[in-house]
Amino acid sequence: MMGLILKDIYTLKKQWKVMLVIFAFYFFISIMGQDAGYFSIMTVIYSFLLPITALAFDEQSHWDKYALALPLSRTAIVLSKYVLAIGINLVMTAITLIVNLAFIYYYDLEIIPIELLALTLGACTVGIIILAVMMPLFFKFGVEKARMVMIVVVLLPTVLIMLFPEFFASVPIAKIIPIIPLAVVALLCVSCFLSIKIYQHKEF
Amino acid sequence: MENVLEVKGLTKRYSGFTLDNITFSLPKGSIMGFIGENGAGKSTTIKAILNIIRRDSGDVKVFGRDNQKYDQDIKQDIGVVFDENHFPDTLDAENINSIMRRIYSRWDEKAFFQYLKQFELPQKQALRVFSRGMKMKMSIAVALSHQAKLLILDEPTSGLDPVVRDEILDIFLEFIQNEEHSVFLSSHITTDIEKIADYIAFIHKGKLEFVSPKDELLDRYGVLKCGLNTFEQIDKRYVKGYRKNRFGVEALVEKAKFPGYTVDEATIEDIMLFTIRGDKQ
Repeated sequence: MMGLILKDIYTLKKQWKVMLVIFAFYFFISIMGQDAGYFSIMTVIYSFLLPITALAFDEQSHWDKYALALPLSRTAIVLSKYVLAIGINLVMTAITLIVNLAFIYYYDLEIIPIELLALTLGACTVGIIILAVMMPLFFKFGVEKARMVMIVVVLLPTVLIMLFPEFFASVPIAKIIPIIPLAVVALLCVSCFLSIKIYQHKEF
Repeated sequence: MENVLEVKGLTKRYSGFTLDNITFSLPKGSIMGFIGENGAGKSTTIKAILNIIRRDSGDVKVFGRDNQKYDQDIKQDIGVVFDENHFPDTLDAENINSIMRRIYSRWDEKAFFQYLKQFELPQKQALRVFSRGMKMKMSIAVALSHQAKLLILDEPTSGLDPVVRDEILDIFLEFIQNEEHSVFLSSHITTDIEKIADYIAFIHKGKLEFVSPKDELLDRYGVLKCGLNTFEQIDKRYVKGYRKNRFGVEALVEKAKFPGYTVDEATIEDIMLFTIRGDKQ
């Protein structure tokens, strides 16, 4: 498992460097505008981009066929992708949080830190939910085809909220919040289970 | 003699192709060459042995153990090389070393870097800049660096020039010097197989045509060149296949049955080609 995660980290080495340059650029823009929002958008984008790129590299080099000839279980191969994606998501969330807090204190912005925390954790949760929905599709259809579905998955909630504003306004959010972490973990478990099932039957 | 690999009644059905009831075994300490034209079922057989695809029926034992039940245990002792490089090409040799160290429990870092040196492969350059031959040598270096007892190689020499091919065959011959080691090697380059194999298995359209010690095969068969009239008279039971040309007939025959005739030595390629042709006539 560690070997597989390390493989993805090495495979993405060019992406890490490009990412640093882009982060530096958006950090600069954020400083100019005294608004960490620009920077935060990039961290969110990258938390999806990197795991998907890792999967795309695997497909391109037909890595899975070789991985299955190594002493690795199909379950470990699937789980390693989840660990990578969730790991990247958490690191990006931490970076976003730190940068935003720094901005608040440095520029004396009128943002309440606890609100910022809620916002960032919210984004992190949404990221993990999208991931949980997408992973089985990636394993089933491959990155290229699943990418189209991803656009739908991301846009669907927005469209629903726009279509039924009253319904979503009436949702008692305060009551839901405590069960969200549990729901997300449950969703992730179902997603892992599905991905492993799909991968068990895959032939390369 | 102990077998490292035993395949019994291996069957895998696809729409349009069936790997049909393949049975053979590879004795420890030997090299088996697995020949057949493109699409004959060589890769399918290898993937079924490695449990990359599921068999529909049959039995595969590696080191005497079922390949599905003991999948990962078995693979610790197998070195695998496919016909192309399967590492993402952004990786370099040092990355591969760090990765494999965590995958193979008996990974031998020293041996790996020693092979890199022997094969003249750079340590810090991404695979992207490697030639096909270099990538193949990299895969071989990985396959040889975890104390594998069995090498399973799917077309490791295809697309390489004769010099590199010869170097690679020498590496396999060196590997087999240890009598605990065995090699299962598929190729459609029959001359490569002829150079190193002890046993030949020939697959054609998903069916195994024959498995035999190479020397027995070469002793048994020869190429008879004769006129059409002579050919009409000879006993066809001992003719494996033939082709007619302007000057007469060339036929693959059982040497011992034709004492009075001029019968040339047959190559593995002759045997393969005439067997396929015999099938068509």
